[in-house]
Amino acid sequence: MMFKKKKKNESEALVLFDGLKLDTQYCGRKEKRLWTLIIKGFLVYLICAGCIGSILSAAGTPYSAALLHVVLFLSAIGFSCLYYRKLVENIGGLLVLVLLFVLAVQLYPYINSGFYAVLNDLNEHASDYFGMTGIRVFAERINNRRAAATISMAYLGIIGCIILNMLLVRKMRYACAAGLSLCLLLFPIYIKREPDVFYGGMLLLGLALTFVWHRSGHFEKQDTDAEYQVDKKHNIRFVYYKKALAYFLLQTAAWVMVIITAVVLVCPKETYLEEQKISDLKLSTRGTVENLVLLGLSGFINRYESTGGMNSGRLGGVSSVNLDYNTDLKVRMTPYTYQTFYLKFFTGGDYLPYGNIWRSAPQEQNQPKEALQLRQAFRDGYETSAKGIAEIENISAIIGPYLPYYSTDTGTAGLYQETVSYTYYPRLSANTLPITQEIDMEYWLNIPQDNYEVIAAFCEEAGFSGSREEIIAQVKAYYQKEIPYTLRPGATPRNRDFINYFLEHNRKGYCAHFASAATLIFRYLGIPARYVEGYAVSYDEQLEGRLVQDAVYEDYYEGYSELGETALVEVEVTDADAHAWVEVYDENLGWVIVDVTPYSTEEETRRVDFWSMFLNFLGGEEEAENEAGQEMQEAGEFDFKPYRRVVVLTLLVTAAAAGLFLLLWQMLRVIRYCRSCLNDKLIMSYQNYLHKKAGKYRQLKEKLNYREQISYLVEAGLLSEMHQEQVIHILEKAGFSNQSITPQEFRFVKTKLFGRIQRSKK
Amino acid sequence: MNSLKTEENGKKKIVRPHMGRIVFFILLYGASLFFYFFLYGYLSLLILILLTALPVISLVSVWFLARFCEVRLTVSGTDIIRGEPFLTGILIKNPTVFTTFHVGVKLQAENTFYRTGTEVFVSMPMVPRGESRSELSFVPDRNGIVKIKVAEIQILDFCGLISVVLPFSFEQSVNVLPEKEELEEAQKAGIYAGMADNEEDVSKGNDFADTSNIREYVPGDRMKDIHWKLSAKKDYLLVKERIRMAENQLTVWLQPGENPEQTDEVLKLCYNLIRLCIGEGILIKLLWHGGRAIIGSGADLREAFLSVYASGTEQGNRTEGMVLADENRPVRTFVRVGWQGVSAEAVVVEYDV
Repeated sequence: MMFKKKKKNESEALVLFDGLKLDTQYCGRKEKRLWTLIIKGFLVYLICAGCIGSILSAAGTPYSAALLHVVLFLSAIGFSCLYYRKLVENIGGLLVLVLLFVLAVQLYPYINSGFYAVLNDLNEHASDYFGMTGIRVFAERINNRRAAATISMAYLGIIGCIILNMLLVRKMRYACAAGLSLCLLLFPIYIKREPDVFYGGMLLLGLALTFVWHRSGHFEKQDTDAEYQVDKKHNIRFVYYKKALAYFLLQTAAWVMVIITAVVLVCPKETYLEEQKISDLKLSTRGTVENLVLLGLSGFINRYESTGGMNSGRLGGVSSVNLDYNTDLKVRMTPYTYQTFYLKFFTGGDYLPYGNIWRSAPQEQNQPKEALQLRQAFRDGYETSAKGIAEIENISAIIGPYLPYYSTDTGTAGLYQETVSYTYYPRLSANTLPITQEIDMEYWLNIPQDNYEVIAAFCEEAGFSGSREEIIAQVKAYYQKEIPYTLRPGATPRNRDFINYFLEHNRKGYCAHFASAATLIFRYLGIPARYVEGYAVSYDEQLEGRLVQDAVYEDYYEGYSELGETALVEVEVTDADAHAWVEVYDENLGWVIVDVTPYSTEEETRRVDFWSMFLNFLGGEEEAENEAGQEMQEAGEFDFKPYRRVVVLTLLVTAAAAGLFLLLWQMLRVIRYCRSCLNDKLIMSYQNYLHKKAGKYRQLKEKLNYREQISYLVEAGLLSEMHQEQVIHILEKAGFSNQSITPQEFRFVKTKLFGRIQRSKK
Repeated sequence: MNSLKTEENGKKKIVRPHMGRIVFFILLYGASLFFYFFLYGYLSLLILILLTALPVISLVSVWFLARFCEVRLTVSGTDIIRGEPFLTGILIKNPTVFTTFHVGVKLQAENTFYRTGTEVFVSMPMVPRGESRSELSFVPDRNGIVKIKVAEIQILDFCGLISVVLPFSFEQSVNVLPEKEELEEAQKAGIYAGMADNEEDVSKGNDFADTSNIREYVPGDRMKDIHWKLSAKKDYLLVKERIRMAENQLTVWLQPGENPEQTDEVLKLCYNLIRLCIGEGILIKLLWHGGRAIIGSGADLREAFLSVYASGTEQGNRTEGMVLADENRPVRTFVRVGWQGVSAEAVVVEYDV
């Protein structure tokens, strides 16, 4: 007891220097810190209610505003007041946990259902924004959405109040509070669901007040009622000053409200939102956010990276197709038709249900008999026959042959960066030359037993019937009308069949889904069909291809052309051109292409991700730019674009190298400092200090010894005269003598001399 | 009480940027700019405008505050006893409607006698159109003159980006006198023994009170003034007639200790010794290395000690002998108050001039 008392007395007086003490027991008046806690609680209420209200108003979910505000206000103030004493804090914290647990158990259906209600509303708005269908809907078990949403949000708000109190009461961590609350609003704002100005203003007001309070200091919670406290640097700081705090916060609040009101008056929300633009950056993240909305967190992973969904007949197992728009193939060919130019890569023969794989057609079933007959017709001089040569360079596609239709070569595969030349005999629409070949009808009409019932039910429901042409048209029309195209259909669940799941449940997908299902549908309806993967180069893309100079048209194309004489073009085929389609057997024409994939109803945009944008800035589309550059040079203008990549890369590399060098240098300095003895540490710190000051006080460089330097610092007002001699003595002792300085001496110099730097930094 | 408007000070205001906070604010601003151009949302627009406007308002308000604020410094008394607290009041008057939550008042505290001191920052708020007052209780535990000076104030803008530093130079001082204490009996006995020795010295012709004349005894003369030796020779009583005995009753030499603790003890003893003498009507001549003073009253004692404080503790080249030799009349016997081994003591010294 005596010991405790003595210790308390010792702490009551702070020795400022030998001869003067500060009686910390008497530091002005005492003040109730409860007021400060209540004010902090009010800030928590502003932020929490602002955030929850913003989410609810953005989602448009009905709720009871009065009840929600009362609960949040009482929670925020109550939890804040728990910090009044340690004992209250500990016991109160425990009770709050118990209370939360009891509430969770008792109100679980409401909390769950209300949360889902808000999520469903947000998802619905997201669906409208993205133009998507088939978004997940969470099951709401409580019919009274208003009550459920209020209870759920109040419960979440209570948890929010606890977290915010932890962040704000002791340390006023405004950045964390802002990060937490604003992050929750990112999604609604992203999908153009702006919160009400009232709630947004509440949130911003709370954050602004915590910001200025933190910036002005004097926010840390103390466990005493003393108005002043002495910090580690022996500075005397006020802790509680109710009147000043009230004035300060009220004035800041007034400024914030004036600014917000002015903005709302000058530029009302509705007017602003009407003129709202969509940034390229937002566009580049759209796919990712769509994935998130559609598939949750799993949407970030599990997707085809760069093959555009083409996977040699392997289906499902991935949630989405992520396009990178990088060049997969370079195709040099002569356009000869308005139709799409298909490059066949894989031909699926029989389908393995639940394994979700198209097995490759047997070699004997896949002979290029049509090509051979068309070649013969061309040699015989058949009127509408033709011969073409296509050069395919594999840039980053899967290794394999990419065959133009009716190519006589079926086995030559191009390795990476290798160009393979294929000769093909195109069948143009005017070419009705009959093909005679025999196919294994049983093989090409085979439907796995596991798919049969589903296919039958689907065909019955859709009402497909008629001739082959009619059936093909009906299937195409049905797909176009009933089943949306999407690159993010979601992964096929385990132990489910890809085609059955697509037709029965998911009813959305990309080309592989449509082509696979259509193949079995055609087979069910008696039309031999097979599944094909490859690249489809549209006529527009062919037109956009780069004209190959000095190429002779006749070397690449002979015979009939729907377009007349054209020229050799080089088309860059990307993963966006990867495709799957169906071939059906025609008794006269052989295997013909049927593309059943519907046109995309999604917003047709070339989605540019950040790196693509960056690389384009660095010099993407190089060839086009080179051509433009040549034109500019011919016109006598200087073209800086070719140098842009070099300049930017040089700057980046230089900056990175400089940053690395500085980092290593600083690390070495720190290591050297840490390993040094106290004398060396002091001298190093002193030299560092002089170096910093020498920039401003140039005469300091001319001072040769400690005495001159310290005298100059005293003249410059950087050191008190009364400490001059002692500092010189300690520096000389550290620098020139074989004695070690004491930690007290080290601290003395650091405090008196370098302390100013630290203070100003703070 | 000192009061000074900032514009009267004459010194320039210094704007001190808080680089760390500015950099962090720029990052914050950059982030909000990014989110605005990313989302083009209304809330992000509000955030951006707030982050633009608030610093501007903050800087304008700090400019007004620095322009019109007043600072006052008060202390609760001029003379205090060592160990007793005194109150220092800092008052900041703000006639503007603006406010700030942090004003750093740089106080320089110094003991001019021991040449020790330090700087302390006292942070205070500034309320609009009113006064903020801060009272601090200091306890001096060394004798001397404690000077408290407001060297500068730093007004922080409410966004915490810059501080405007206003240099000041007004101060208040407090004289710290030794504690009043009754001398211990042993010390009193020493002094009285010194006085008795003095009387013996008189009989031996070594009286430190100088004799001006010898005359015949008249009834009423004090026994100690009788010149016994001469009276024996002349067969009638003769008495010594002293030169204004009250002027030169007791000479005290103040010898500071080697460190502040010793010096404080010496000062305390000297102070109380002189008080004792004054109480008994004895005039004191106080000598120290930096000067001299004749003390006949409490006010003289205060002035004398302030002079001692003003001289500081450094003795320079002047030794005790040199100081005593400088006196108009040679001092043969005096009381030396100084540190003797383990404690401060007053010793009667016979000094051959």
